[in-house]
Order: sequence, then structure tokens, then C-alpha cells
Amino acid sequence: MKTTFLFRRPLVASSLLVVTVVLAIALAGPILAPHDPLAINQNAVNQASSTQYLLGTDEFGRDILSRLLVGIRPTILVAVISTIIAAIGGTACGIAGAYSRPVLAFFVMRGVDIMLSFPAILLALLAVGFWRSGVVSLSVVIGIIFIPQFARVAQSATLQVIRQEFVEAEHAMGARYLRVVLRAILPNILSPLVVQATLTIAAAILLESGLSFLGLGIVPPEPSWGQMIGTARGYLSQNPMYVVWPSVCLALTVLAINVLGDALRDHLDPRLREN
Amino acid sequence: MKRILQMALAAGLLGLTATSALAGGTLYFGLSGEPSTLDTVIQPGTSGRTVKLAIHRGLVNYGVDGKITPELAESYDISSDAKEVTFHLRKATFHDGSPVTAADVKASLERILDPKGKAAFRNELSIISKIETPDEKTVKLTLSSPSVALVDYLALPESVIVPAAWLAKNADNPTASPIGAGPFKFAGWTRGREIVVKKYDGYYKPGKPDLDEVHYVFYSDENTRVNALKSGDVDIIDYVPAKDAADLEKGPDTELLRNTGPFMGLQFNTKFEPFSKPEVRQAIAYAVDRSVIINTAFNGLGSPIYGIAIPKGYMGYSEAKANYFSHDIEKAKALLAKAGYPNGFEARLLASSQYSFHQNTAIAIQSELAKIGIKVKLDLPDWASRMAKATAADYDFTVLGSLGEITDADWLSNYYYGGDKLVRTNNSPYFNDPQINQLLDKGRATIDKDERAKVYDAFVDRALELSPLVYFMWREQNYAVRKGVTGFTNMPGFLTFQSGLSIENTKVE
Repeated sequence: MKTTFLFRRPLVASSLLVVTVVLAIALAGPILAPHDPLAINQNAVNQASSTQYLLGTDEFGRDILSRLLVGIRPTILVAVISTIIAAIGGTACGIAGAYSRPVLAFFVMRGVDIMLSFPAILLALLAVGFWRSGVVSLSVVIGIIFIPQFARVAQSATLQVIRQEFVEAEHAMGARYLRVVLRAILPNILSPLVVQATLTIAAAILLESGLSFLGLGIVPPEPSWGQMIGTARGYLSQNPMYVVWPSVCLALTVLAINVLGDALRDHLDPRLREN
Repeated sequence: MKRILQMALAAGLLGLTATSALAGGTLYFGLSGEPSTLDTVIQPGTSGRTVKLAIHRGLVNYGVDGKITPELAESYDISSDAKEVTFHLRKATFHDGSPVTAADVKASLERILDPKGKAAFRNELSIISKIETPDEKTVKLTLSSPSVALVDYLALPESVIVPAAWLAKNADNPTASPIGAGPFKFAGWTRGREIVVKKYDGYYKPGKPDLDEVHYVFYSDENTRVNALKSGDVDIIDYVPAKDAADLEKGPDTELLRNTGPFMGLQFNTKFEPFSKPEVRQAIAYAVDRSVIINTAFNGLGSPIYGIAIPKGYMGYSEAKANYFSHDIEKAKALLAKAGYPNGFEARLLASSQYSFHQNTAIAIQSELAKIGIKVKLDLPDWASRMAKATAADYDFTVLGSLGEITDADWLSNYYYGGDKLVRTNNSPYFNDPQINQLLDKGRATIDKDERAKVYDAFVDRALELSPLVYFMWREQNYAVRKGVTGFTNMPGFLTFQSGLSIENTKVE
């Protein structure tokens, strides 16, 4: 059943492959890297691809392939941790916004609206300006920024669920608030949240890369893809492939995660399922 | 009727060609940043100085040949004991038409000397104890102690002369339109975009300036700035990134104006324990392979420094002491062990992500120091935060990329003098050596050239022994111009940051 689903959709299958490979590299990158990603070689600055340096070298003579392999880990780490923070925080806000005292619900959802009215990158710039950038602070900042999206999804899903009989039944049995939330609501709003999570991971990768591109993300000399693109931009005339490699990797990863997210949504949402 | 029309048309055309033959045209100058202020007494960085030198002139200024040139003063005499300087003003006018008088000079200098003021070079100029104006065109300065360097400090863009009447009204108004006696008058400042200046017809040098209008456009991103020049949006850019120098030199539409003025090195917070020891600072001077910095952070452009950053031909330079250090890891390790850190230590290095050459120098130093066991953590904020941290001495050591403000040997005071202000932009915080202070005081007051050279020779010995600052390389400080732009000069040596002065000679096709 599962395999036929994949074979009928080659785009989804290849996306799954890309994501698997990216995750494997995030775990094993430092072992796979042929060179030390921080090792400076002053005699091999801005070189094109060669047998020694498969994808060439950057402005410090560092191996671009090794930096790509190592540079994905902080990005994925930030994306995953921030998505978890956003999912937990957003779901809690969303449920509170649909299933609690009206006054509390009102304030929670208006707070969410206010946050949604700011562009994510603007909030991120503001927050990063106050704290030292690093994996932990970036994760927290990006996590908080994506709470509103989760809250919206969780709220609308909860609004649909709380009118169902099984919730009424819990009420009738005199269940406490937390029990209703955990036993009746949460399991039934999980599928849209899972879809939202995949989309958030992709968005978080892009946001982290954007910040690193601007020089506000991962602190050099540790590599990250966004930061590599930002630096490579200045070397377009000397080493044009330098900007191509991290850009292609980033675009492929984000595309693959988005395709998977779409497929997951189609699969989980009965109204969109074909058969 | 038709005839009249034809004649009118012909006359009009003639008039048009006549004006275009006379007109010098408009020049667009791509600046690496927006000046924080045009207040004359503040040192606002190169972009601010470039604009200031279009609007203002001092009693004297450094000329394009690097020598001090009389400007608003026609001539000046220094008394034989170097305690009195008399300036004779020329017939010049400010942009509002009023003549430049001794009273204006007095008011301008008094503003610099105001202890409550913000003048960048108040310390250096505060040896002026009396300003006398015997007549409208004569100014006599009396010094509390002899100084050979005084005229050099008066040549800086921070010592320019502004009208006394304007000062009386606008001294405390940071947004007032500036008035000076320079070749161009201030026409407008669109925040975030550009400053425009227009030709001043009453400038005291006949035939100058040639240009009608100069637009100083702000491009803080170096890649955008280079592209603006390549595409013809601007005619001149400053701070050419090393990586683009070769490309712009090749042309065919652009030309590179090269100069090796500034140096790159390290300032040490001498309150941070390992850096309080001269051995540790010397160890770092031995440990860093200069060619790694030059080849990575500067794309191969620059030349190494193994001593103190005194340019060849400047007082204090000697061939022998220029190679005091070498790249010697064993010696570096031995010095570290002698200082009590055989296994190295951890330290924070402050630089800035805003200028790629600062950040890349820091990365190269980090990798070099790892080889002797010093673990370096990089702190790379934007430039404004970097400067704030520097003025608060909030660092263990920091990347120094600067130059001597004047060409007289007294430029060293700013870097090495202790005194009562121990945290400055260019010194190593809290470094205060009585012997060095005394030598610098003596050097400033010695008139005889050979005597003076001996003093600075002794200074260099002591400065190398203590090494409060460590230097790695001379970097190229290049301007680039479009083909057809002539007369703009990248001024020699330390004066490169004052090249904006040569806009009065600049022509555009």
C-alpha cells in the first residue's frame, strides 16, 4: 500500500530520498567530509573543482564540499528545535484560543494576530540584534516567531473538534479540562499540525539561512549554507560555482520538504484524498 | 516669421553648446557609508571626511603630493623655539560671501579647544594656550610646550575653518547646513541616499573646481558599490574590496587608484590577564604567518609587517628594526611557556562582520593562533557595535585596521601614549608605560631633525620590546574610477583617507 503510493508519485519519492540524504548528512557530515572544513590553505584560494577539492575552494582555500557537508547540521538543528518549540507553544495557544474562557481566548488570539502582522524576518532581525547568535538562541527566536502559524491551525482545528459528540461525551462524564484537551482534542487535531510542522521546518531552514546570509546567524568560521551563499555572492566573478553549490543544496532541501509536506497533507486530509 | 524661428533655434543651439563646453558636469561618488555627522570637529570616518573636504578648507591641508599646503593661510611662520606659529590669511570667502577673517579662525579653534566639546583632536591641539588676532588677516598661536606636530594637526579635516557668525548660531545644531570656504557648497542631504554639493564660484583657487555638482551616494554594501561602478551608476568608489581590485584594474571601463596606506594588526586589552604580559603579545607576533592573512583576507594584495607600522621614509623607520619579528612557531611557543601559558589559553577576538576584510583577518588569525594553543572565540557584530565595544574596552583583543592620522612622527602618540584617557579607539586599553610616554613627549618637542630621529629610534626599541600593539601587514586602500574621470588622486601613505580633497581637481568627460 505504502510503496504503491510512492511509486505512483515519483516527485514525492525523490523528495523523500533528498530529505533522507540531508538528514543522514546532518548526522554524519563531519565523518563524510574529505577535509577539515575550517582548515585554511593559503595556496589554494578560490579554486575551481579539482580532484583534490571536488567542488573547489572558498576565499580561505577551505574545501567547499566539506563545508557543505558540515554546514547543514546547524541549519537542520535550528530548524528542528525551533519547529518543536513552535509546535508546542503554538498548539497550546491555539487550543486555548478555541477552548477556554472567552476573555483568555480573545487575548491569546489577538496576540497571535499582532505577531502575524510582522514579517518573520523583521522579528528575527530584532531578536537576533539583542542576543548573541548561536544555535540555541536562533532556535528559540525562530521557534517563537513560528508560534502564530501553529496557533492559527490548532485553533481552527480545535473549533471543529469541540462540537463533536465525543467531546460532549467527555464533558458529560465530568472530565477535567486537561483530560479533555489531551484525550479528546489533541489526538484529533494532530494531522493538520503534522503538515504544519513540515512546512515550518522548511520555512525555518529558509529563515535561518536568511539570517546567516545577512551575517546574523551561525558565527563564522563555522559554516552554514546561508552564510556560504552570503559570502560567495562577493566572489561571483572569480569563482562562480562557489555560490551555486550551497544555493542548489538549499533550494533542493526546501523544495523536497515542501513536496513531502504537500503529499502528507493530501494523504491525511480526507477531503483532498482522491479515492 | 520662419526665418526668425530658424534664427532663434540656431541661437538656442549655440547657447546650448556654449554652456555644455563651459560646464564641468556632474560626478557621482559611491561612498562606503553614510556619514554619521558633518560636524567639522568630529572624526566621522572616511566617508564623512570625503564630504567635509569638498565643503571645507583649513588654514593648511595635506596636498595631493602628501605635503602640507597653505590653504586659507597664505603662509605661516614657526618661531625658532617651536612655541609660536603665525598664520597670514589669504583673501578667501565663505559660501555665504563673507570674507575669511582672523576672528573666524579664532572661533573655529576655540570650538575645538572647548573642554566640553566633542572635538576628536582636542588632546593633540590643547597645547595651544593663546590665540591672538593682531589684525584681520593674522592669527598668532602660542603653545604651552613646543610642538613640531601642531601644523600637521591643523591640516586635518577636523581642523577646518568655519564662519564665526555661523558657529554662533549653529554650533549646537547637528542638522544645520554647513558653510565653509571649500570648493563646493553644501546643497542637500537625502538621508539614507546621498549628499549633494554644488560648485562654489568664489573659491580662492582660480579655475577650480571643474565639476558643477558632486553627488556622494551611500553604498554600504561593498558588492553593490563595485557593481554600481561597473554599471556606470557612479564615477568613483572608495574602499575597493581586495577581491575586486584585479577586475577593476583590468577595465576596460574602470581604473584602479592604488595605495598601501593603512595597516592591519591587533590591539590588546592589557587588563585581560595573558595579554598583560609582553611575552604573550610577542608570541602572537611570532605565531601569525602574515602571508595567510594577505592571501586569504586580502586576495594576495598587501605586504607583510614584521616590526612597527612605520612606512618607509617616515621618521622612526629603520631597515634593521623593520624585521624584528619573523614567522617562528617554536619561538612563539617558547615565549608562551615563559609567560606561564605552555598550553595556551582562551581569548575573545573582536572584529566586525560589516567589513569582510576585518572579519576575514579575524578568521585567519584565529586559525594561526590555534597552532600555538590559543583558542580564539570570534565576536563579529556590526561596525557600530564594534566601535561601541572598542570605546568601552569590551574585548580581550581586537583587529586593528587603521593608519596614522598625520604624517609627522607624532602620529604614534595616538597609538602608544598612556596619559589619563587609557581607552581610545586606536590604543591598547590600559597600556601606560612611563618610558614610552616620556619619549613621545620628547619627540614632539624636539626641533632638530637628527636629535628627533634618535628619540624615535629609542621609542621603537621600547615599543617593540613591550609590543602593546602587533602589526601584520600593509593593506591596499584603493579607489576606483570610471574611464574619463581624471584629477582624482589617491593621496600617498597615511593620507589616503583624506583623498577627498582632490575632488577640487577632478574632471569628468
